[in-house]
Amino acid sequence: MDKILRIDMGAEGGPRATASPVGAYTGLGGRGLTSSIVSKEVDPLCHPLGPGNKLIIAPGLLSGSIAAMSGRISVGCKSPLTGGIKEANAGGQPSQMLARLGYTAIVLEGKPKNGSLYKIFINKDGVKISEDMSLKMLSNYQVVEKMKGEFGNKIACISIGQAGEMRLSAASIAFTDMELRPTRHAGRGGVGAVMGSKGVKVIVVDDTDLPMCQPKDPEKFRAANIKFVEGLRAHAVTGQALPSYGTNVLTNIINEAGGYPTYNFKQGRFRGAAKISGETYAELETKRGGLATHGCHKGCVIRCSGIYNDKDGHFISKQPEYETVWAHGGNCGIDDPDKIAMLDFLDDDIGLDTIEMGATIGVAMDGGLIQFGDADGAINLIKEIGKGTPLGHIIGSGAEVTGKVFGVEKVPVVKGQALPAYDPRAVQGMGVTYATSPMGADHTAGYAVATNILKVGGDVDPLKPAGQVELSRNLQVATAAVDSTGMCLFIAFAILDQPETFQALLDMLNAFYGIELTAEKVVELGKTILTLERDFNIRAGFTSKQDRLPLFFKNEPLPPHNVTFQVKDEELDTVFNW
Amino acid sequence: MPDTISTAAITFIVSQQALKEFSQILQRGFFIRIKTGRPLEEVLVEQMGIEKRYVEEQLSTIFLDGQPVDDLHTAVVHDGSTLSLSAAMPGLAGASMRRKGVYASFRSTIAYREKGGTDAGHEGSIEVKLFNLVMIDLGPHFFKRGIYLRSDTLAEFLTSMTVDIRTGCRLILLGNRPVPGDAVAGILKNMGTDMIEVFVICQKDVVF
Repeated sequence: MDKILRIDMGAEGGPRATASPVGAYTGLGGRGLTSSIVSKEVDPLCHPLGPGNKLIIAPGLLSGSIAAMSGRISVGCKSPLTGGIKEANAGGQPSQMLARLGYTAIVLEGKPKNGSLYKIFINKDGVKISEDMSLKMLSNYQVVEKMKGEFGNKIACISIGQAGEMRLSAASIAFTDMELRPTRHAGRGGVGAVMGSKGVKVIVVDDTDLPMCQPKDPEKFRAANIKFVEGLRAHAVTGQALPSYGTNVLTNIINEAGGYPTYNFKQGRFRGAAKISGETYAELETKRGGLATHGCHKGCVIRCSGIYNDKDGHFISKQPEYETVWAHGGNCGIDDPDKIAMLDFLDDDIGLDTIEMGATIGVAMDGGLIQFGDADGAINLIKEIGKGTPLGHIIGSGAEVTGKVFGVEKVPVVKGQALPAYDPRAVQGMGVTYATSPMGADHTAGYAVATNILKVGGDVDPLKPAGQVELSRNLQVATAAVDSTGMCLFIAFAILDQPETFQALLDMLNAFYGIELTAEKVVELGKTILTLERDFNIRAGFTSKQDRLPLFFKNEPLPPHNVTFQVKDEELDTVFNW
Repeated sequence: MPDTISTAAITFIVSQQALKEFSQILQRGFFIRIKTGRPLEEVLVEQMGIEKRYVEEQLSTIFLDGQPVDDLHTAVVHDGSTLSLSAAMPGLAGASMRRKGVYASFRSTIAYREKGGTDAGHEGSIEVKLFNLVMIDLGPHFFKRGIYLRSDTLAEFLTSMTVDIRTGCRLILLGNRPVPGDAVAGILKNMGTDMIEVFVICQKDVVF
């Protein structure tokens, strides 16, 4: 990986591709690279859907190699949903293939002047950009089928559905999985709308005849990878809980804790939780001939995904993530696993962020558009988006817009982006991250990464009641750093508890690039990335007023524990005081 | 636990696969009788019969009345409590729920704090929920010692899983009387909300 592919979609005479050396961005991958390019090259005051915005697609630092869990890919831009900087990431196959083709990133720039729609084909022979209006308003599954017909089965696709073409703020970008299905999505922040604004429907990647990316020190790299995998397999979360049940194993736990937002954040427990739990989904998947344990890309050893079939054994969707099951399930009062899987499929097909969609439908239900628990009504609302109706445009624009249209007071968003599946009144530290992350409400912005191992800000007393701000700060720093490696976020759990597994990750990076990365340097990298992102948002007009949760979290107690969000505004304002 | 307790007991002799499927009901909650007003660790190890090592190494996430527990010695299980048991969980929220975890302060406002009580050593009942890997690991243990379920809850569960249970049940005994698989849900429904003691035993552990 030694070049950046820049494609000027607004060039005179049609889109023009240029490969250039990585240059000043050497050593960066994933979020580190996307946020650096956005920060340096995008005018913070530009319109997110205008020619001044850029869409960056960046594999991880170890993508394309034999390193386990290295298939994550980041997408960055100025977000049409939040108005600030955005990084969203996904699994799937394209990351590994792009890396083997030698690309550190693809940067889509400019904007076609004539509203044309393009497909981009990248293989070892170069880049071919073709106008293809026959792709117009195809869904993700349809466009991938068409690409298979045209280019064969040894490809991977990066595509948008109808939502991206309509430039809706909840639009995602789809990445195909090992079965060549568009099931892995960079969901958050409307990145699909930016791809749509560039006139790019699909990027087809083919790495045929290309070898694995080779490390500088193969022996050390191989040894570190073995140790890394052993660490993941030995850990209770990455070795047992996630492979057995996927992320939806959290439904019962968060529900029991009274932190499971239900009926648009009105209560912290959902009566139907056990019917849509990870345990229930895994049982159904096994019984119906699907899979309860499945990777989203080659080289995944955690395998937290799955394949969900209907009662007759036909594919409905991949195993829905916890956040998806929550958003379309408990948050909307829906306890039918088949209907939730169908909503997941429709989101993937039309190209929508499942969290934003579930939160939006919850707001619409609160506004009386349909009743809580109306699963068929929810399915119809998503279909409206695919059809491009006026109502579909409203719903596809996310929770904030929908709340305004339907006169709803309780709209769970920060910086315009919907809150995920953990009520910040029950898990207050999470609320600090939701409020202050440069990305808007994002559960992955401060993940369970080894803060005490990294010694970011020193050791924290786990039972000290205060300290939420410190922990959130430490987590955001550590997460920004790990995000820039482009490794799957779920490695964080093993790294959290096992210092030797974290060291194995550093050893892999060092052996691959011939560098001397230390834990201290990782911390510095995390701070640098967050500083860049914060600075972009400030230049875009953000102030501390955007670093707040909606007022109802402070004023309305959440049953059953009847707690409110208690972290003071002044404390929130200290999160980024290094 | 509801006031009405049937004296009835129902026993399912099942295949290994059916036992696994039966375990699904344990995530919804069941009732057991214990001496209440006792420390949580004593309840888990001495009264419930869970190996101490399993408690220490596997039960990393425990809720008492929906509140995450940090200290098994100071938390006391009272009559009518709900006790939920889980393995280590992913995500920041999952990690924050762990006993004395690094992120415990994240959920300090809902953490379990002992309120005291007057039921020390009294006979009482509690609701238990088993989640994820714990459900699979400890399910057979609880089914063997017997659990209490509302009859209509069990009936609903059996109806939803009827095909598997019919084929997977070698024998169903209501008291000492054999009952056919396709009749059992109806019988239970007629018992309404009464509690019934339920045993589920793997056929490989039974000598016919």
